[in-house]
Amino acid sequence: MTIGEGQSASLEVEGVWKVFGQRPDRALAMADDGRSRAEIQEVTGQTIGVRDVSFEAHKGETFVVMGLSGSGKSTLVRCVARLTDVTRGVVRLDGRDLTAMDEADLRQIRRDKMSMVFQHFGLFPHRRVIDNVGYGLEVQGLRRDERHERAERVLDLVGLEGWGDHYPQQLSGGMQQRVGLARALVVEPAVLFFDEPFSALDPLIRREMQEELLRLQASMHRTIVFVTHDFDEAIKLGDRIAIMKDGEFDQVGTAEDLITRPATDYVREFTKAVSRAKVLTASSVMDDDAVVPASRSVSRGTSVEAIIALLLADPEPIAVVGEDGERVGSVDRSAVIELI
Amino acid sequence: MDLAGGTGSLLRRWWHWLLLLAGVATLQWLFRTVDSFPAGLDTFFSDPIDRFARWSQANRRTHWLFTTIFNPFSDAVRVGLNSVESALLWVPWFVLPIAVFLLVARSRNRLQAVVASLAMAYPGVVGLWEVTVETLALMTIAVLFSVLLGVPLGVACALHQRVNQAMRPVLDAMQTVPAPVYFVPMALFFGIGAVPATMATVIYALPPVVRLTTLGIMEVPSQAVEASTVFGASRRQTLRKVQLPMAMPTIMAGVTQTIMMALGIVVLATLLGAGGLGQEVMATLTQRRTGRGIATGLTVVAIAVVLDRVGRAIAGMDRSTAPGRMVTGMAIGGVLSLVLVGRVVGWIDFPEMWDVKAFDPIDDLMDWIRDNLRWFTRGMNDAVIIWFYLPVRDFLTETLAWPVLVFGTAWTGWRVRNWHLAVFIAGALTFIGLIGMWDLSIDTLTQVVAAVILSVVIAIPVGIWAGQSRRVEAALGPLLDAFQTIPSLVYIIPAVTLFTVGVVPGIIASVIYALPPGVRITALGISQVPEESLEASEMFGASPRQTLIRVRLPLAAATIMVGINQVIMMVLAMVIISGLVGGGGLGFETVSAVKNSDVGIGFEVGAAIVAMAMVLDRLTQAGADRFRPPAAT
Amino acid sequence: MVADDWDQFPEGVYEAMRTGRSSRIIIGVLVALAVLASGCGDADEAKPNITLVTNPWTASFLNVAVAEQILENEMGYSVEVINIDENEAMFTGLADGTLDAVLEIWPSGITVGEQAFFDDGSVVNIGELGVIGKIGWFVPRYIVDEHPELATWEGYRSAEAGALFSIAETGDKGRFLGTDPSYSQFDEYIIANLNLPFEVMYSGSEPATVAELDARVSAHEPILMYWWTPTAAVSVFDLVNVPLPPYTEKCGASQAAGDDGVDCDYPEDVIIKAASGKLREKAPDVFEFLNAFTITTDDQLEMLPGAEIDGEDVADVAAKWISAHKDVWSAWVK
Repeated sequence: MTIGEGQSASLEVEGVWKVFGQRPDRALAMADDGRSRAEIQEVTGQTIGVRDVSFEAHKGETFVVMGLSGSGKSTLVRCVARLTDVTRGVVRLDGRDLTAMDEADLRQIRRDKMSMVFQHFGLFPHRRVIDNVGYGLEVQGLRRDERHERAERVLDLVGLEGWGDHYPQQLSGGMQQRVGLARALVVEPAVLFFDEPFSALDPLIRREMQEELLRLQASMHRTIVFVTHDFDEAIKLGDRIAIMKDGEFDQVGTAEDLITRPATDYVREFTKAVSRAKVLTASSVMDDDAVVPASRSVSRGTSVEAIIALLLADPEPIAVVGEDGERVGSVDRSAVIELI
Repeated sequence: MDLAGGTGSLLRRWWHWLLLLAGVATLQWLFRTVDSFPAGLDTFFSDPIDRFARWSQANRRTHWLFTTIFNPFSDAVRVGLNSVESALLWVPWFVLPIAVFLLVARSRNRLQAVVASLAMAYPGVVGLWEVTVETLALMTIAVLFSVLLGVPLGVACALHQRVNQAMRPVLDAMQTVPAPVYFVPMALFFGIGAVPATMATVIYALPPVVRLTTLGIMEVPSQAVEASTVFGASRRQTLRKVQLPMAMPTIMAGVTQTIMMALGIVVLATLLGAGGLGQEVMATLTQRRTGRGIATGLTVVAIAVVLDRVGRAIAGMDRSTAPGRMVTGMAIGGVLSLVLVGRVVGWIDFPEMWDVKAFDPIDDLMDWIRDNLRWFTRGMNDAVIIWFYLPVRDFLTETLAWPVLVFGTAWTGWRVRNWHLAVFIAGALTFIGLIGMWDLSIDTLTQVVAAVILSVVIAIPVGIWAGQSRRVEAALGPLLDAFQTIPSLVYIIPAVTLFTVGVVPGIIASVIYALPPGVRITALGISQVPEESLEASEMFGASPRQTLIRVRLPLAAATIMVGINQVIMMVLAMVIISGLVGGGGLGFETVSAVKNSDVGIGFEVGAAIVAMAMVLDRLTQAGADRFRPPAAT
Repeated sequence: MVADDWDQFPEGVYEAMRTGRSSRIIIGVLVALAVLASGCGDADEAKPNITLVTNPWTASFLNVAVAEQILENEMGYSVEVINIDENEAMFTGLADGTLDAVLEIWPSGITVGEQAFFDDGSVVNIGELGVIGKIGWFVPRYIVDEHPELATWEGYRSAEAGALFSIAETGDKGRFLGTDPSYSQFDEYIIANLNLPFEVMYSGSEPATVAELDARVSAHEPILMYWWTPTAAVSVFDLVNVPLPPYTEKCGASQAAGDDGVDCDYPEDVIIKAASGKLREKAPDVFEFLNAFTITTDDQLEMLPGAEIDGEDVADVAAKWISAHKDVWSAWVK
């Protein structure tokens, strides 16, 4: 399979704003004065979609933007992909400013480096699956047989071998999104945007697709910007997660950061329902100083869930060791119970 | 490679084309000496109909069918028309514009209220109020009949599957039949003057209200009906208290469409001697007063504007934004007291402030165009005739043997749909030939094809443009509305001066009339393409052109085909108009039949137009279906 | 009394709103309006409505407008005017009394079927209008000036004549411009029987004929067409009549029967008026008035230019004639 480790790119987003309406300058001026979103809407009739968002997605990182509907996350991803123009701010892909690029350059960089998976799949109902997948190659001007060959290989990869001649609407929802995924992967993008790709799927299928994505990402290490409203999905897939509310980022960090150190009540609300044992690792529950005797050891990144299993079998404390095998702390029953 | 297998698969792939070729060649050779379609049923229908027409004319004063049914009915309708007319003239002139303003202003749109009010005042301002009133009376009565007939019919269709199945083809046919076809038989039953014109209008305008009533009731969520049933409501109660109220917005939309269709036909109603605006337009144009013709035509546009705005204001009103009872009552009281004041003071007729003479400068413009652009318009006229019309018509009627055309069209029907359609087409075309309308129909078909090609060539690019830009669409809106409502006679007679008598002015009028639905439906198709599909295309680096060609157009294709279907239907509706300016063919034959009360011929021409319309309609609808992406399984 | 009420009216309405009786007030006002309306009828109730027919040409509008205004203003009738084509349906309308009278019938256009209405008395001939009409073939004067041989029909037998009048549709044949299909036209037969290299193309309506005439004359181009006198167009466009072979009895019989034997000129038409057989009973004075009603060729030529060329309102032109010729029409009104 050709999609393996290869190109990947870093994405920098700096002070991005998006205002909807005829007079964005007025809204920006008010916002700079520190007025609230509702106030600005009331006075100018302009809606602030994204408010001063900055982040960086590193090479090979999965950066998840999590927010409820209306939080501006879909607008943000569209700004970053420049499907809509940003009102203010800069987006850089490997140092190249996307926001200042002209149409032709933008088109070229999209053909070379980017692709996207959509919430409602965004498939073309008039094209067969194989031609949907080959679309990105087609607009690049590739020959038909080459397109089909590459598309078929990616279809195999996402588990759709033999479905190429069907039309998308003849497939189930999960299969349709696999087509969407294949279509995004076939162009070998450096950056992949996911706009709530699994939210329209059944819970079972959704989990299946998440696993699929993890599996693929494990081998290809692309830069991914993933938008979701599902916190479980965010912590499952994201290397880092941004919580978005009212067009702004409330907090950015790893799943563990968010759970152990929520910056706002809003973030705390999300983390409440999460099964901590699954997310947290030994390093969050261990006692750094306690040098108790222990016959067993786990690494820092071991999930609390696994530790519980060990402790249930044998209540004796467990040692936690670092990358080099040196002892960094220990975990006992009381620490785990306190956490849960 | 297995040669035999290769030939086999080739044969499998191409055999229907071979069938076409073989059929065409055989038929052309077999019928090479046959000149024209043997009109075996030339008098089969027309003779008995003529006999009935003569009988009805002779017995109109004596036979019970007329003395007890049709004549009293006609009298009643005439009384209705006269009362509406005198009621409208009785109301002091300033009341209606004010009432229209208040009504539209209720929906809180002041600008639209002013526009509607000015439009209401327009006919009076140009001194055409009395003539307009005749037309309004005809429309009011016709729409009243349509609603009284259409709503119960629609309800029956919604509640009884069998009624629905029976009505559907009838409504389909009614919507395909060009309006003038109804005139001749109506004259037979209702004599002359405004009554047959009213009844023809009723039939023409009926389908939308029936269809939308049915749709509205069927769309009522089944839970609402179930809830009503659970509370022990009878079917009647459920219908009256739940289904009808919930379907009301849709029914009102149907009524609005019915009104617009009635408005579209009123000027043609002059052919039956209904008087009113149509007659006025004809008279001014006979005097070569283009400007006044336009002024008169604009009254129809003005009425359309008023009806549209008022209709929207009523439809768009919900209880939360509507003004309270008190304000409404005050407004009604105010209007009524205005009526009272006007009557008491005697301020009733429109003051003569202006008249159609104000439009006379347009005549000078027309003369200038006539004298300076003749080289272009005449050149275009002759080019269309020499390079398109004559060769195509002669090829179809003289070069091709008639069975070839029947076979070829049926073959097309088979390819785009199935053999049922092929049989239907062959039957319809053979019928046209048998009743002796072959050559006339081909003549008309040639003109229709020319008009459709021109309309499509203009409408599709404009529609694509409008579909991608809300602003363009909004800017085009009023122009398209005007195209659709201004009576075509107003521009077709000046077109004669520019292009000369013949098929071209008719083609131009058809194009103008057919453009609005063509543009609108294309724009709709283009704008309905899912945003995500477009984003996906953009995201993969497709240029706007690539997105248009590879995504937008293919996804809009089925809708665009529906637009083309509508264009064809509109062009067919204009066939009679082309008959008024030398277009020949079925159009002239219709005009002649209507004007000479030649019922037998009138029936045959009508039947030929209907047959042609149905063939073209089914072919294009089947074509549209082929453009639809395969359905989900 | 009405004026008194008016003062308190708004208050009354307001009161009604508050107490929820608005509908009753509104109904009350409507009733008041209806009473007012019935008191305002200006037509004399005892006199029946009179329905006059116009056919779709200007002279007919003018004749009827004159009669309409005299009937309304001098005799107190309310008149309705219906515009329809001169066909059997019109005769049926006259016969059953839907229509009361038509003031301009061209006898050459009366078909066998229409004659039957006269024969059984359901439609009555009420004398000559006073106009002598002539249908025929017309060309602009410049054609005759430039081609003197085209002054009579014999000049149209040559292929060159055909070519002169040819247009795109007719190829090398000349075009003969026919008109509204409801007008009586025998030109196809005449052309066939006289063996002329011409083809009839119908304009389909009078406005279309006039538009075409205007286009051709303004460009100084040839046109040969069906037209008639008296009309303003003859002088406006300076048309001359092309005489066809003289009218014969046998040819006239063909014209009446509408068969293909017509090979002669249209006859001079002594235009007549006709009334419903029921009119004499319904309104004897109207019947007498229409019987006496006369408009001469000169009268028509006096009125036609105003209506056809200057674009004045037909009613205004008729009113002008009425005020100028009181001596003429006062004799009709008894």
